[in-house]
Amino acid sequence: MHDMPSTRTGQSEESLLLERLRLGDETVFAELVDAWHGSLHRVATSYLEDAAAAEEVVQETWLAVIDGLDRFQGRSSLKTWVFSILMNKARTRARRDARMVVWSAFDEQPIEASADPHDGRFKKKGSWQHPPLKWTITPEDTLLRDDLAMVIKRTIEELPANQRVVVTMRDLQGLDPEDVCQALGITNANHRVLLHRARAAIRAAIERYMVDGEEEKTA
Amino acid sequence: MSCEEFTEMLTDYLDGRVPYGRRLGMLMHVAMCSHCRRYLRQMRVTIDLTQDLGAQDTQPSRAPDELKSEVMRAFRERAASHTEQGSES
Repeated sequence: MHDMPSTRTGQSEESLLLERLRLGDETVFAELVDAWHGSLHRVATSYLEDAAAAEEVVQETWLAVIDGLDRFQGRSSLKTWVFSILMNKARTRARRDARMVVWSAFDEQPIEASADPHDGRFKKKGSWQHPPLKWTITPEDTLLRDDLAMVIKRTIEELPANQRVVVTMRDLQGLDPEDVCQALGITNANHRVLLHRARAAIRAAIERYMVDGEEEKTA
Repeated sequence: MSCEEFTEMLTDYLDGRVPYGRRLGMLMHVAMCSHCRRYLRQMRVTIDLTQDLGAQDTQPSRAPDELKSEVMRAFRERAASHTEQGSES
């Protein structure tokens, strides 16, 4: 079992890790490649929508990390730096493969100020027009939670690319907001809007599933 | 504070990034508004379920052998070239 080195490792811990890498410690590097592979691959896949291309991008990322080890000045955490390289490689790959829709998602589409994607959900004065419906899930509802995992997975896959990448980094991979903003080159405000929209879409999908379930039970 | 404003600030609130005064306003709003209270509770459940999915997804996180051998080879080459440079100087 390879524990994932923490995003916010202590500064001395991170310096030590960097020193070991610069000195060519193969064991440390191999552990890092294993520990971060899942996160890097998942984020690259969320951007490129192609698992094989994502794997190539992860490999290119590690090669660039090796190449840049001596130049890395530690202005960001090691993990943020690695994810920044990953996103640059993913963008280059997207351009090369002419995935222009994906490529433009972060860089060209303006992000509106409003975080909530549900037009008409609120009245003019800002109170609920369509309030959230009542549903609850307990930790014991394991079957229901399995079903909802599928609902969430499908919903994330169908999100616009920029929302999908942000929610993947934040909620699926557990990265800190600062790491996500730096790696994607977006402001905290944009990050907040994208994350909220993604979460709101997932909540709405859960609600639809729960309400349909209720209807089936009473039918 | 309106319900719309409350939902707009929810992500920052859950990240602990809302300044004290605004946070107080949100707490007062949620104490009075059952819809926003429900929305907040459901958003927390949504995040928990998504995080659970992420935890399941990344359990077998070892890198594939081919990728690993390729990057390890590059890592060794870098180390070897550094050793050569060191012995030349």
